[in-house]
Amino acid sequence: MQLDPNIEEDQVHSCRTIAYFLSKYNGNDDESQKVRKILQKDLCWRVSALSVIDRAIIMAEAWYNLLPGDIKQVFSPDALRIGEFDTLMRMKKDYRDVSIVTVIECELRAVLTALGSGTPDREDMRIGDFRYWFGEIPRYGSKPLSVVVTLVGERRNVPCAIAVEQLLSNFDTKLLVLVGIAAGPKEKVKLGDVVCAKKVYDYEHVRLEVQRFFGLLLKIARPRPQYIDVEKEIETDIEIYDDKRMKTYFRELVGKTDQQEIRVISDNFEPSFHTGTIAAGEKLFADGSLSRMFKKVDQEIRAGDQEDSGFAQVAKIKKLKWCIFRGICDYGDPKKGDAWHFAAALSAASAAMTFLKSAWKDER
Amino acid sequence: MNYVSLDIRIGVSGVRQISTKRVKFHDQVAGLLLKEGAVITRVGSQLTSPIDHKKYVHHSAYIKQVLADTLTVASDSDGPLNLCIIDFTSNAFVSVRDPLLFALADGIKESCENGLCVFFAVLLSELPGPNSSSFQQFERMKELLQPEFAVFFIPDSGDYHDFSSKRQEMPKFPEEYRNLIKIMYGDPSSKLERKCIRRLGHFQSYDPQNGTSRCRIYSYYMIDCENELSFLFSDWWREHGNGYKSILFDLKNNVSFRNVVKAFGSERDILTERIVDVLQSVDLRKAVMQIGKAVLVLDAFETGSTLNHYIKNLRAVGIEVSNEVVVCINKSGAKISRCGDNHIYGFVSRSGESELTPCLQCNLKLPFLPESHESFLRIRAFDMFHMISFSSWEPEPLEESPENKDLRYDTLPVFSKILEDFGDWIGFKIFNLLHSNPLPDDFFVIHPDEADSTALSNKLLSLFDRKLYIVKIPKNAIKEAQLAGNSWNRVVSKYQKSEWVERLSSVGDAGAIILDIFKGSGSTLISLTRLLQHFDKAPFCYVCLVDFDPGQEHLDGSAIPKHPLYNWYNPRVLLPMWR
Repeated sequence: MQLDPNIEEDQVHSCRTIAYFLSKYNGNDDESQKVRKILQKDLCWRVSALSVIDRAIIMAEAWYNLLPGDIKQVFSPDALRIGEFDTLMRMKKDYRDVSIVTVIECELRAVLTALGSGTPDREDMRIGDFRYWFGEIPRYGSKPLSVVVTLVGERRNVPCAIAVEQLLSNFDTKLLVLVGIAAGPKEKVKLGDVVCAKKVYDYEHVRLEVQRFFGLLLKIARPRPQYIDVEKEIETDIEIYDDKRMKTYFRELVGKTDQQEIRVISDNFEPSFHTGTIAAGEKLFADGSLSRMFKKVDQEIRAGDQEDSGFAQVAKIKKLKWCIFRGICDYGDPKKGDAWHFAAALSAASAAMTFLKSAWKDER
Repeated sequence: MNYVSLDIRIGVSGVRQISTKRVKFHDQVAGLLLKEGAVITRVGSQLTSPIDHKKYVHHSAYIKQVLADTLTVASDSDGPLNLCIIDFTSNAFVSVRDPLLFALADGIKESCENGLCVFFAVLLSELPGPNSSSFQQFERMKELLQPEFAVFFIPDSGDYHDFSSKRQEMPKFPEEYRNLIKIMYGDPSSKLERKCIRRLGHFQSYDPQNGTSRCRIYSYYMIDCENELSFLFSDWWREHGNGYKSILFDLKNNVSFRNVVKAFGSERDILTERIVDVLQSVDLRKAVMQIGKAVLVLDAFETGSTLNHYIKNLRAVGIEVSNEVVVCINKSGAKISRCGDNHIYGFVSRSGESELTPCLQCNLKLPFLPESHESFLRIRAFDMFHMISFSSWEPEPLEESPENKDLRYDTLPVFSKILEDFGDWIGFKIFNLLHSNPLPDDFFVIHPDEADSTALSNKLLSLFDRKLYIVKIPKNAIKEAQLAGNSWNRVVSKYQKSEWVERLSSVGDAGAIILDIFKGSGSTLISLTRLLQHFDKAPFCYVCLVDFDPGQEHLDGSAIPKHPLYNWYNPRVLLPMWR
């Protein structure tokens, strides 16, 4: 029995409900017996679709619910530690409103600073090779957003896609956010600015061909670029986002940060907020080709990095909403250095936090 | 004086009798438009004028032909016509496309030139834009035709547009027409009451004042009610809103109302902002403070905790707030109530809900559901048993059980009570379920003529704005056909004169949705499928509240998609699993 999650509730939930309602028809009167019979028939049919452990737990719960009241009085659910069954069940996925992905350590530090909780060396949860930090984002007039942060630990699209896949196998979430640093075309952005993706341009999609030209064999790379657009709803939220909040919050965070790490920032520095295309491939831009790509391919390009394509593709496959905030740390030219890494990550983190706080609508 | 009227049904293929209510509506509209005190007689066809999707898409000019035929037949038999009413109000405005109106303009011009009629009233839910080609065409026509020629475009608001060279002044007309529309389609307030559905689920609301959350089993949802909310909000503003230049709102759980309020603000140049944005942005705060007092608009009012929290915080940052507050749903039990010095104006009233502590659904680890939309198309087990807990159990009623009494269920929930208490939500779930699949352009509902099915189809009728065609088949006829091996020849001949046969004969190419309360063995579904086949109609899908035989996907070899709201394994004959 295959169920579409949009059509019907999780079968474990319906079985559990029926197992509970069996206790309401525990008597020996005629009606209770008849109702109990049809509930048991339905429950047997439903549990047949569950995994062995889930099936065993539900049947044990149903059996307990049908015990006579005097036995239940002596052996309460707590005494039998029935609550512990949950830990074995399939529905053990934890839920967080927002999942934040960072790629390198300085990005993680910036996000945790902006969240105001946790330190990189003390994660809240570790599953396999992946570490998770938890936090909350307070919002005015509504429940705070619960957040999980993870660290990919390695650049490039494939490791990023694997980390997102792992994250989603352990957590249910509503929104995936990537916060990090990137190179930017100096014609449009300055160091420390933030770029929020409206689309990701995967420039690595190329067909390699051989062509004969006046008797010579030439290798030609025909580009077949792929564009991945953010969801319309997220695009609307990005459009209404007021970047003044980012600037204020950034200044607030600068006050709380080790000044040595942000020494490149002048006293009156204010990051600007840009939206546009982020070019993503497998190459680290250090030859000025990002600026050429901006001029020749897409004049909406505002940043270039090595992870966004993998990140966005997994989100799309999982039918999850996503957004990307990148702080500009260099111009992708031969002069690039690391001096702006943390400051750029901090400005991206302050944009992401204030966006989630004020503009993102988790319920529509 | 004679008039003729056309009841245009776009997307419908079958011809149907024009209802007496609509004939009366046309009579009254003719009364308003023709000379006062004159005796007015409706002549011509008593049937609707369907324009199915094929004609609609490929042959917009078909309307010309319909108009010419109607006017020729009516004037040949009853002499000159004083008025022709072309009624599009049964159709959503979006479905009345511009090419159709353009073709109508040509048809009216021809009828006018042929002397069939010179006065036309086109009834539409909204006026087309003045730059649309049909509008321009009507404007051009008045120059070309004789001075007696007149076409009125009349929207639901009654503010008509007169396409004639000699303008007629009818100052009382808009109000009088609005009243007629209210009688015909119901007033917005009661329509909104009907469209405000109490849903079941596991909802959590947050109290910003205490920073705590609480669980609720009910939530309210408004379906497709922008028009009603827009009318009521404009009405409220006319009476109470004079002088206010800003609206601050928190409508996160009511998307329709949020759209209405934002559109209202932008049309009238009123600063319309979310409360949360104003509290967080210094610039917005300054803008609101400069304008003066702001009106608060919230999606619901219950304990006043959220309202007081907002007022306190807005005042703390220097924003003056009016003590007249608009809410969509007032849960204090009355539409208008007070909260301290504040007057709360609600458009819909509902009673408050008791707090659930401790929450049973939390104990069962059931996830929370969003308030803004329905998470599942089907009903959750908890909701089903919650509904049953308000009804009771009974043996299957004898008159509804199969001929073989051994197959009768000895206990079932009392579905009539469930429908009485939760019918609106069940109807809404079916409405959602139907819309989750591509519906045919034209469809009708067929179901056994029994109280519970009728109660359910009535709920659907109201959700489809009374534009749903329903055919009820008497239980006796179904039983007679079943006894004859589901052969309907003799049964249909026997009931030839009955309403259901007439209705089934007039549905045209419409697809049939078979509706039932529950499916035990599928015998009713098979009988109704055969009946439809007898009339050469295609069953489109089968919808029921409970499917007691969920394993059976395709009955009788036919592949009719089944859409139950709840699966409950309890088939009439329990066969061993290996069968």
